[in-house]
Amino acid sequence: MTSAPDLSSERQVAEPSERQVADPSERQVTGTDERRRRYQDRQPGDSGDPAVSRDEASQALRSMLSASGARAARVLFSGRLVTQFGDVTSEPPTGESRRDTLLCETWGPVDPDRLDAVTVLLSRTLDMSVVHDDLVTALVETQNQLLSLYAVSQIQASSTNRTDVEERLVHEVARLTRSEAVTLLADGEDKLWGSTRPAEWLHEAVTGQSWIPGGRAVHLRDERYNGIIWPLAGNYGEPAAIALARSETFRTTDFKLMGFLGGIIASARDTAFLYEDAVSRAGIEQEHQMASRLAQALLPSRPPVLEGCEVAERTIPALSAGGDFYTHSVIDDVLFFAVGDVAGKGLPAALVMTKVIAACAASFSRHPPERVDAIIGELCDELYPYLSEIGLFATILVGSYIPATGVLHLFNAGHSPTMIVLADRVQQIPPTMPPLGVLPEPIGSGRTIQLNNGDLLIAGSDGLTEQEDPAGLMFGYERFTREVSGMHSRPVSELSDRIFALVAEHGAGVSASDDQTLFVLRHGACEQPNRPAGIDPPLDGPADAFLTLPATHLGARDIGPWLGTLSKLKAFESTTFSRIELALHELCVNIVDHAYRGIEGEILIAAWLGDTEIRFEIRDHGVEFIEDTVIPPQPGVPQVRGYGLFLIEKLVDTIAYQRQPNENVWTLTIRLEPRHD
Amino acid sequence: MTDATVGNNLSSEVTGDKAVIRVGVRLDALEAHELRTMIDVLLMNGTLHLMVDLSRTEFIDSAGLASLIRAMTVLNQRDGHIELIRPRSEDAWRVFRLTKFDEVFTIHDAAPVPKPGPRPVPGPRSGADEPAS
Repeated sequence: MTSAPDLSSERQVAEPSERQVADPSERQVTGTDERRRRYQDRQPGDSGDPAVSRDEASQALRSMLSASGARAARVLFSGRLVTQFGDVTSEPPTGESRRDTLLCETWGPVDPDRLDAVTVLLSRTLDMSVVHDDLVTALVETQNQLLSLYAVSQIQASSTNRTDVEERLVHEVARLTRSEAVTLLADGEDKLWGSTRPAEWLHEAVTGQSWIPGGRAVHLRDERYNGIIWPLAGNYGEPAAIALARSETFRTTDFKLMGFLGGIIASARDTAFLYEDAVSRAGIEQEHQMASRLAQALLPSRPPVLEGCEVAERTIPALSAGGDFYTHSVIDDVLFFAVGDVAGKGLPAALVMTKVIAACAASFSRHPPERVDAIIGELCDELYPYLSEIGLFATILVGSYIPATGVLHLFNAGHSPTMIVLADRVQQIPPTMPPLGVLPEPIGSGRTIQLNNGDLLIAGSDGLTEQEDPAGLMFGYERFTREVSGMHSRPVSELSDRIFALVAEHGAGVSASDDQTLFVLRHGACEQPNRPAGIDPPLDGPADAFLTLPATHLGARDIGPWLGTLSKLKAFESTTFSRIELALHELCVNIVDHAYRGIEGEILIAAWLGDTEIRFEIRDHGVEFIEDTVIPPQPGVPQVRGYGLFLIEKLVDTIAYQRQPNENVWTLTIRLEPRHD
Repeated sequence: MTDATVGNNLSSEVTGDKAVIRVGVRLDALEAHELRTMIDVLLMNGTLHLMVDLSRTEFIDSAGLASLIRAMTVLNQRDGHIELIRPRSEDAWRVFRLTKFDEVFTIHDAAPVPKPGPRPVPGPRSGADEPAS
């Protein structure tokens, strides 16, 4: 053995254990990674040194040292063998040269200067190779990290549509893992991506493969491709896994990357699922609200007007609509009415309520005023099978009232609070029968009461008496009775406003737990205190006019004609007219756009026409108005939004907003200019 | 020159990069949407000089005003401009005064309403809708 290198022994020493690439073309593709990996995996005592230098160094050494006359040579870098040839074991070297940590030993007649020169050259080459490898490693890692981060940000940003998210994920995974085919196994299908051949291979390989959701990776392999099935640990939707295929073997670093990506994919899919769920819930919720509003629209929009009495009716549903209801019919100067509460709230209660109201309307027309027991009997017959079947019941107070005589007939089926405010005391009207839906046949009897001037019938709902304060204390039946006891002869709207205000104050900071309803009837004309001339009337009696309009831009066009009819009741100047029209119009358009936001609804306007001022109360059931969201415009500075409120403030004398339970209440007042005669 | 009419209330007339829009009696939230669409189409087709004739308009709300402001903003960006013909109705004009946009827009007075004929009784109010002679 002279100058001919012993290839087999060299290879044995210099090669990393795993695999020497046989196919030159494949090697070209993976060379950088091979080097990087070998450099990274290098351990003290390892035979593998910087790969870039090994072959070249061996070649250089061999040619240079052979040319110098060496029989054998050995090169050590940091005490580790880089390469050798010839017989280096039988005798000590005859020459050596050091350069930093590089040691070059030779056997045979080698010129020392020449050896030094070769050593310097070799040292530089190795130094450069180390720097080169460092750079490559850093670059590859940085790029990978950047790509991963980019992928993450993209996935997060688009995590609304699941299909879209999944498609992107599959692409990112393919890119980051250098896979030739990737598929997402979910919902019984695979979303395949990649070149035809590896994709076909992967499809075939995953078919019939079992994997445990959230479990360990499954390896797939044959002579052409390597594959993994990576199960995802998601919390929503069908169990899913990502499968990859490539010719290159999957290594530890790939598994680490997949661990990272798998976590992201699972969480992005979860986010998308939750979003889908939220969207569908919102859709159902919207339908519920619309159906509830329709049911609510069955309630009379204004109280009955009858000579010699006064009635106020009002309900505030706890959800978009509830089970509280009232209804009335005026038949031959007799007022028939019913006030009640269907157990529960929301849409189911509202639907039952519509049926009860329909039954009442039919029954009122069939019986004389003194036969309230017959009305209850009929309601019982008609509603019991229905109510008992669905397991609901309804409290109800049915009454008839003859304003001319003050005779009141009542039948109370489980409804409370129900009471009569007399001049000197409050008389409770306890139920004589359980609520409708409890018994198949009516029991008990009605009662007849002679009302005197100023006497009040009050029928509330338990949503008022049971409203809790933040400490959990109820408004209470006793307080309710106490508050109404001093209201004999007072205007019904004053009583109604007062009770609702007190209950709202009591429950401030607590959401209304149930619908709140109040029906008030006063017998006899109101004794209005005489006001000195020139002082504004308090405008707290019943409103002079009402308008209900659909909450649409088209609906807002009803305002002008309605004001036209108002101006017949109260003459006001044309500029005042147009100021009011624009102010009400702007407010209603704002309610349509910002309170209802495209959801169907109604806007109720009440008007009080005083001698020196006009007041409007505008109510809607849309979302709460939050002033902070309005950008106040600067006069003359172009801005597309926000002029509505700005204009209203300029047009009216006072504007006030109040959020009541489930209701927005706006109050506008316009002072009337003294008219010239 | 092309003419277009949207509904009964809004019409436009285009000559090169100039356009005139005639607004009807009412320019409210509902109509503002139509106006905005019309303006968008005109701007898309290269209109740079827009004249909006509000002379017969009797009711303008903030949405109507906003559609004009929007057109002004876009046209200013393109070195175009918008001019208005003042509504004859003081009620409609009030919106411009209250928001101070009377000082921002270039505004021309409307042609005077044609005088009633020799008969002592004034004509019907719809006379204002007829073009000035």
